[in-house]
Amino acid sequence: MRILTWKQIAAWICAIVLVAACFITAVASVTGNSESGDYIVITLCHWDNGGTTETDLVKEVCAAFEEKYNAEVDEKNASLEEGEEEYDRIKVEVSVISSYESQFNSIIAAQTVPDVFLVPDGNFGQWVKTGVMLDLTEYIEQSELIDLSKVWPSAVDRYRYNGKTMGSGAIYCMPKDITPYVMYYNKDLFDRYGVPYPDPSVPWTPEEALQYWSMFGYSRSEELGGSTVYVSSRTGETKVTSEHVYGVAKIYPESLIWSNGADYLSEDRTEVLIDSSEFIEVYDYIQTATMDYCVTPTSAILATTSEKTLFLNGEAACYIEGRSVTSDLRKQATFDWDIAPIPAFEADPNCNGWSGSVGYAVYKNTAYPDIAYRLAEFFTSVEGQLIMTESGFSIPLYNDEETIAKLYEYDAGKLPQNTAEWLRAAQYQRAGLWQYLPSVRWKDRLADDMGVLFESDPSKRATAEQFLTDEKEVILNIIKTDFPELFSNG
Amino acid sequence: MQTERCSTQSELMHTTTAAPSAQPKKKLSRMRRSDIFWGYLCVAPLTIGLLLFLAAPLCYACYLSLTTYDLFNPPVFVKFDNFIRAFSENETQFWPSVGNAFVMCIGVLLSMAISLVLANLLSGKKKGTNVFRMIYFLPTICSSVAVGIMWKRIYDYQYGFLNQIIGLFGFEKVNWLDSAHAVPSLIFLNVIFGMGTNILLYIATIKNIPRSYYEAAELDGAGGLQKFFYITLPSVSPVSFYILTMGVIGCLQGFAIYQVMTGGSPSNTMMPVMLIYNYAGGNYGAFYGYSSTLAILLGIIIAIVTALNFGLSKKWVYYES
Amino acid sequence: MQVNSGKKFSRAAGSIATYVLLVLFAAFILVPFAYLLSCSFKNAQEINLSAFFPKHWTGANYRAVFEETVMLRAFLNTFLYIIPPVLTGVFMSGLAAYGFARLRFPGSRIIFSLMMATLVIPNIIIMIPAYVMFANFYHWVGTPLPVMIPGMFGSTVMMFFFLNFLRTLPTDYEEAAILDGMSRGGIYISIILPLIKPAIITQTLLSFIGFYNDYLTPLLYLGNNEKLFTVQLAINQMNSAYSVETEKLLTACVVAMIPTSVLFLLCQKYLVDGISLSGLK
Repeated sequence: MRILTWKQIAAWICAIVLVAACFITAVASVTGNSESGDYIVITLCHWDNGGTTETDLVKEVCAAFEEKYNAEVDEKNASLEEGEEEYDRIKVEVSVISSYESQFNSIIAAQTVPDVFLVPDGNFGQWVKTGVMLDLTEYIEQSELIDLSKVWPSAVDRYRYNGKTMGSGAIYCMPKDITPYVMYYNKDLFDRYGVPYPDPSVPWTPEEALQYWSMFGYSRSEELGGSTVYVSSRTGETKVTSEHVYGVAKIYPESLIWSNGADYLSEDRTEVLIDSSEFIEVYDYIQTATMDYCVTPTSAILATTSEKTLFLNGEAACYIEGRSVTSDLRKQATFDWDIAPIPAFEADPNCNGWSGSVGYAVYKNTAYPDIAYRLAEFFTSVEGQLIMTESGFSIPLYNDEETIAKLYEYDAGKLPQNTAEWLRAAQYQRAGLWQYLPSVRWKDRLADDMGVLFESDPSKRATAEQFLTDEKEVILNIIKTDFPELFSNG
Repeated sequence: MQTERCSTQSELMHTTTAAPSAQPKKKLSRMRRSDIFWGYLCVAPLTIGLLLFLAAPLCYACYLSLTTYDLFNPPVFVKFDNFIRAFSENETQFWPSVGNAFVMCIGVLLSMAISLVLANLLSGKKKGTNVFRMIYFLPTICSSVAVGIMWKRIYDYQYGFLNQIIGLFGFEKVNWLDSAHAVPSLIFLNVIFGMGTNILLYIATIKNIPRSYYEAAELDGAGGLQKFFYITLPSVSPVSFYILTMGVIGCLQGFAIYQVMTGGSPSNTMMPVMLIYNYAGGNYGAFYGYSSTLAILLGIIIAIVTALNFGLSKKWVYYES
Repeated sequence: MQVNSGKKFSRAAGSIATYVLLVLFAAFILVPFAYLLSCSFKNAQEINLSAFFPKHWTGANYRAVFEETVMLRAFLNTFLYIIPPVLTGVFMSGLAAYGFARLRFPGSRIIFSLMMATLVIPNIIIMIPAYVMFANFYHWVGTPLPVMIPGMFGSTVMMFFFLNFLRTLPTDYEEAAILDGMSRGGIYISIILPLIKPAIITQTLLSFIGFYNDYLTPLLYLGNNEKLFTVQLAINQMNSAYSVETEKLLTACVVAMIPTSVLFLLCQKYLVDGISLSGLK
């Protein structure tokens, strides 16, 4: 008795070949294309949080570096004596990763860390402890391209780590950019509602801000004619409008808290200070602004619509954000706009926000530490910085006159006109809350729980004081469980 | 004769082995030996797979749950600290998230009821039943990521389809995914998009109910509703039980759709699996030990619920004969 | 006469009510899909307008999805990753089912019961330690191996399905083959597999759909390398990107739903029968 007919045998062979082919192709696609040709492949990974503008720019800078480096190699090879080995050209490969911060843990686990990788300042503490980053201090000292004394100090210090705490010690990342936060405002809307423009250098006080922000939102009905009814609980007046314009897309508590002289945690991070009277004042203010004056959307609305969308659609008059959106706004905004300082209390008006930053680290076990460092360095160098400044994506990391003049030159004739505000903000603004501790669970929790302040039913709504007093314990417990080592040494 | 162990699942192989029993003894034992060899060979791949990718991780989970581990530094044995932490008041998210998952189980019950009604309507010989059956089943084969994105768009506050529709009738926009509305919105989606399989199971069962039952009931003067409650409902109870059990197990482990739709905010849409994922290299950092602890606790909860389900089933499930 | 027509009337009314109910629920399902489909033909300006159908139909989104994103690569990857586990998985599960159903060997009952017991273990417990094991012992994270290999050994659910199917089949052919001196392996390949063909088709389809729609496993193991993305990861990346282009995202969703929908339409008989059967054990 035959086991199989010829047809069946053919089918079996097909199936087996198919499975094997798929398997081999799938596996080969991972391992295959790392080193091909005579050039060295330097890999760099990057997030997509800055949108395509940023990733395109990074690719551009990498291409510029590749060209520069290869030109050097060609030059060296040209002057080689006979018998000496040729230098290899390089090729920089950029991979863009979404949900970068959470994905990077598995990159480390898989030991597929690229030669150069992006480090957001918020993750620096967590990642530097894993030992994947190369100490760059010596490289920087020997470098001719980098003069740290000319770089905004806050941009470098956030990438220092002394083995225990951040902020001092060896440098592990080359800063790529610094993104000071400012208040963007829609001039057309300000004109339409007869609101005076904010001062270009003096921040609004919170009272002023509330006063001006609440001038939006009540469109004149005879002009627009619509059906939505908005009731202001402040004045009790009812107006018929076709649209509701928020004064500001989102109010960030940090800027008000710091400028009011308060803070979230103590220096050593073992105490939670969110029940101080200055702190409560800020939360009170935000609650009033959101619920009574309706100048800003509740977090529930922001959950489905981004602040940027609100601003771009003319549904919010002001928008607090970093420099990184500037190039997008230049492309997409259909109205006239400018920037102003973020509203702040008078106690410390310069301390009215944080600046974001990302840097590039070099993988400790990279095969080409020198080249990898030079790539990371290129981003920080004046040459790399000017490429990114020219595109409008960021402001230079340097605070010397020469580069600042370049910034004015590049930004001239483009929006925003208030270039000086970037420099003021870059000078004073510090790193964000995410640098307080290596994990952000405590701060996420605080933001999540804030919902009770914005319950639509007033009887269920907590006061800022109640909320913060209760929340203090919760936050402290989170810090205690996540970082027991902070508390162990007395 | 080797009749000593005749397991229930091998009733049929009895006939197979009965045939060679008439052969001389020597041949029989050779057959037996070859059977044993082939038996192990046949079962080996699946067994090895389960050992490697199920049993080993299971044991490893138990070990990990007693350690703190961040993937980079070696695991530190901490005894039952993780469990103590999970039960302490510091753990403010896990138990509420388990509660959320149980709330979502309302959807399983609703889906069961609606599927039964629809299956009952579809099991008759009406025109177009096939088309309806296909439509109801369609969402089941679509990926939850795509379905999640689709519904996120539909529920969107600013530009969502649903708000556009109710806007036509002059209603205010509703924020379908805020803390007040997210749970019903998600349950609705789960019910509508999860009933395909249930309907198929019910139709198959209802078609298997002997006509004579209904005919007898009709002779006794039973109406449509009475027939449904006294014949259909008890007859489909084993399938209902199956749907309930599998539904609850699946519901307590829900992930993709919630991750895509809300990402865990508002907090009443935070699901246990999302939390476990967050602790395992997700948003909360690399706490693999604690993550395993929570996973084991969730597993135990699921096991208890399933056991309860089986216990209660004796009261309402009717098996024939 | 009166009574009769009344009865007729009520039957007609009942029939109409039935259809109304059926159509209502069908609408709950079809309208979202139709909305999605219509959105995929809108351009960036129209996507936020309230009209159901676009004023200007455009196919640009489809082109963009394939040209600007990793979707094409993701499709190729997905098929590469799922064909081996689907085909070998079905083969191995069938093999195990044959072993349990037709062969007698010591310990078969215990092995079988232990296997059935694994069905109650919630997947979630395995997820994290499996990840750690793949990362630290196998060093497979960042490769498609964790997505492919476990499935290639077969699954208990599938095995049980085949077992149930095998039990309903007579053993005449096999006995004849044994008398002819055919080996057990030969019997499995030449007799059992053709006999359980309908069950195999059903399980192949179900397993294909399951692997195709799986999100968490690829997310865990491949989530950071665009070159390895599956379709689900590709649309998820578009969804979680910093600036979401809604019309393209929705188009990508349509594209991602196509393969399983086509399979469903072509083979719905097998799927429907298979699922109906699985509940009747």
